Amino acid sequence: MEMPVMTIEQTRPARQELSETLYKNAFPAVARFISKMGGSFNEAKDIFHDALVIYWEKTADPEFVLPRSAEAYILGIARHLWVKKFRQDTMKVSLESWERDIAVPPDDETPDTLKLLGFLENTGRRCMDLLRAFYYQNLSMTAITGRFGYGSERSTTVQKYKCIEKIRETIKQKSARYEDFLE
Amino acid sequence: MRTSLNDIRETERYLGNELPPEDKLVFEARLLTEPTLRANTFVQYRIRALIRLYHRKKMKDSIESIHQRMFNDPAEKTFALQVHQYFKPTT
Repeated sequence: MEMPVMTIEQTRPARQELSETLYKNAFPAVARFISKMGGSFNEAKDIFHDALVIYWEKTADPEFVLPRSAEAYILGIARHLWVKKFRQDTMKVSLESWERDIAVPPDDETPDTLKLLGFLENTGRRCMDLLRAFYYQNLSMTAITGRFGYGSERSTTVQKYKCIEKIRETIKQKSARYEDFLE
Repeated sequence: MRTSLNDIRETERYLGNELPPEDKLVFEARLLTEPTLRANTFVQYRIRALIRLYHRKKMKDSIESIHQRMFNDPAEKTFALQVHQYFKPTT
């Protein structure tokens, strides 16, 4: 099984990474907040998991400066997400300004996109994993070359472009909308 | 490298904002005059969004496996009870 947690810890050991320890330290405060708002265990779990993903994405950026402890920041994201989810209840929670200012990435899970993603996961998982390593896992070229077992960094680069080409052709075939962009 | 792969590389650098200003201008001029390059650039941009979604899905999977362990492993019983405590109806 793939172990993304390990990889990220290896790349940037200084920051507290997604781990069981972080899970244990951060979840109780989020759960207490959601329960106070009248939410269920499952709602707390969903909001917490979304908050962890956002935390993980943000801290992957080397420029990002964590404004609070990891636990406090994750709770801030969760509070922000909760308010966003139930706008009508905003009176009950007053977000601090740093919490309001957390940029929450848009949810781009349209049915078409998910269908395409499902198809690509079945037909080109290796390419998806390779591009993921390049774009979102902060891995060095050497690390990617080693992990995917290509002979040289040059082969890895060429493989990256071939993967983009392959996925691009799949998207063209699957997406009627592509025609709109040839105009 | 094939010309088509060279275009992919150039598009990657354009989308990643890695082209020096003069190369960027050349690329943008090509975008105006070459419909195929324009379409391919759009698709390449979309691929990044798709991989982002894929990355999130993978992160969610690993978070879920941590969750399952935290709430099913007897060794974590104290933690699980503490969290469940918040959701007990008050009498």
